[in-house]
Amino acid sequence: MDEHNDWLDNAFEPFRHENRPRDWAGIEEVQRRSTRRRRRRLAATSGGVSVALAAVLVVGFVSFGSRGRTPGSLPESSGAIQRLAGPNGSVHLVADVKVSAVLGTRASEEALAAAEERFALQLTRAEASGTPTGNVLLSPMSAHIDLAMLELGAAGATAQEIATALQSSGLSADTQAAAWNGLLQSLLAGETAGELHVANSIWVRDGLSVEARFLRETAETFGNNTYEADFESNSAEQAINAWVAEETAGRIKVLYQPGDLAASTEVVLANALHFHAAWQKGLFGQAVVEHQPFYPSSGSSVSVPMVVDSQDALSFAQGTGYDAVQLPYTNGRFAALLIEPTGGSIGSLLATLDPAGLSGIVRALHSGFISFSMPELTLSARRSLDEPLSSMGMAQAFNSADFSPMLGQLLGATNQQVGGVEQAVTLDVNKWGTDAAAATGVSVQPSDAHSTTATIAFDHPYLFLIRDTVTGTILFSSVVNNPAGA
Amino acid sequence: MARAEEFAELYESSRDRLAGQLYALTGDEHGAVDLVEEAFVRTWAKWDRIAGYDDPEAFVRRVAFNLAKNQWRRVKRTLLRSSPPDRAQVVADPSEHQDLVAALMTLSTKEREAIVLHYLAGRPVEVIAAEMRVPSGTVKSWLSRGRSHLAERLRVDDAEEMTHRG
Repeated sequence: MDEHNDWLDNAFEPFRHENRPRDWAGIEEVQRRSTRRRRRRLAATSGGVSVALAAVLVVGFVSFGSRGRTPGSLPESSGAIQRLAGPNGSVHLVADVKVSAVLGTRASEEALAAAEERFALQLTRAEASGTPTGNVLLSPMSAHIDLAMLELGAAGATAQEIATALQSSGLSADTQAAAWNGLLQSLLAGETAGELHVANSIWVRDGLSVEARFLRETAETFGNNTYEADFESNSAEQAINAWVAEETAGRIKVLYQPGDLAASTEVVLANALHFHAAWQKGLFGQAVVEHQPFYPSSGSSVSVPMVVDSQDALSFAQGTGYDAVQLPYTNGRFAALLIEPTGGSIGSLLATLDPAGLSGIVRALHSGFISFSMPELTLSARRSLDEPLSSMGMAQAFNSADFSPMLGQLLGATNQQVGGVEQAVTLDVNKWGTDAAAATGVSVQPSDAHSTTATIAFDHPYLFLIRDTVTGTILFSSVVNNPAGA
Repeated sequence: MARAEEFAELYESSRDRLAGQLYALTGDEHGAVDLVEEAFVRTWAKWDRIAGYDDPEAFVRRVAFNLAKNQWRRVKRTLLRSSPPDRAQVVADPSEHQDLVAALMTLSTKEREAIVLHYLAGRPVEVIAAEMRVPSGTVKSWLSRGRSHLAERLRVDDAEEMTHRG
């Protein structure tokens, strides 16, 4: 990134030699303004601190929750917790304590990656069974991270249910959280740096006490920021959406519609994920994009733009009942794996595909000359994951749950429920590469509240997975049934 | 050199350079001048200490960038109360840098800050990481993502960008 004569260096050249006439204040005026302000500050009776500036200076520190504070109190000018401006009128809680990141062991990271892969396939299958002719678009990784945060705040049967749904009953919530941190560190800072961005946040109802231990553990492992927001108006939804938009570079602007979150919501745990990568150098250098027919599982064929190429650099496999192609991204660790059933339906392929079957397909990949075509995709979805997660073992948590490690005993935390698990995902695949983003939000509320859900369906027939080829972790999965209808 | 003269020299020699960087960060050329002036106002209040720094200009830039980001948060909150516009549409700058400025505005604030610090201000990755209090890998990640988005937005020739990536 430091080479000279780079196009971006050149693009900035006009900014370096600005000869524009600018209306600068004289040096005396600058000094006068500074002195005047200092005098005013000294004359003031109450010593307020520059909260806005502090917001940036403490960026390296981990956010922390506030306890025992009354709702609507003024920003604290001293003490451990600083209250800074957060997105859209929310309050960013920052503690001037530094916590150390807790990483997992290699064995726990491998166990987590295997659990996430099982979770991904089961979630995709559960979603696809509900929409047999529609497109499915998910980020299993985003959902798994978000629910792993929730598990840290759950106890008893609730924690067991979440672990069952996450396919990680063999890992304690602490171990799982540390393993996620270790796994993400290797994906975010290693050779894949720049292809993936992950962020987490906790949104707490104005004035609610959250257990300090829960906030410390999530900060040590998920590196989240903590915000206070007003769930009784729509401002919390707007604030979370603004955070999601920021963390996904604007790819996802709406995770929550106004009214999605119940007024009684106490906590929302949010994850945002953005994947942006070019295909490996030269992969589709000679490819053309042309309209070709695509055959949905029901209805007549549709004409869609396809990336068409013939070459010998692709890895592919043609096994019993399937064709598969693996397309590596720039740094080689992430790859898209496309699996199309031959002789059966996409539904029957999904019904039988397990981690062993997926490993078998990956092992069968080999290079050779092939003629290849795949649709360009522009898909997006926003949906509730409540039903598939219920079917995967998390049913009771949506009615009655124990979140005492997060909310303590005083608030009747054993009488809580998961309000809903919402996910928004976008997927763009073209000749250049892939841009995919996801945001997941899980809300916690008293067990008598109700939340609305949304389901969006699309159409088409192959499975599209974005995977970490080292651990098998599945970042995004899509059952594509009709690219034209996207 | 006298204390006030050193400050005046820094102001004269660096203000246009800093305004260019703030312009790239915010997309607002006139606002960039105000931010740089305000940063110097705050720097003068602490000049006894700042004058001894190895790179006082870096301190002024950090203050100006922080001011810009806080200002941007306020603007963003106001905009979100009505309807959220495409960030590129917020730019109403008739200058010849419009394409690059508009493309920069489509990046996340962190990506944009890293890009401006590295490619315009010439700060090494490790220094940016220390300033932004994140690991170097995170800065590399922002730079790489930012580059890719800009290349896409500005339609930089695939081969040229791929050469960089490869």
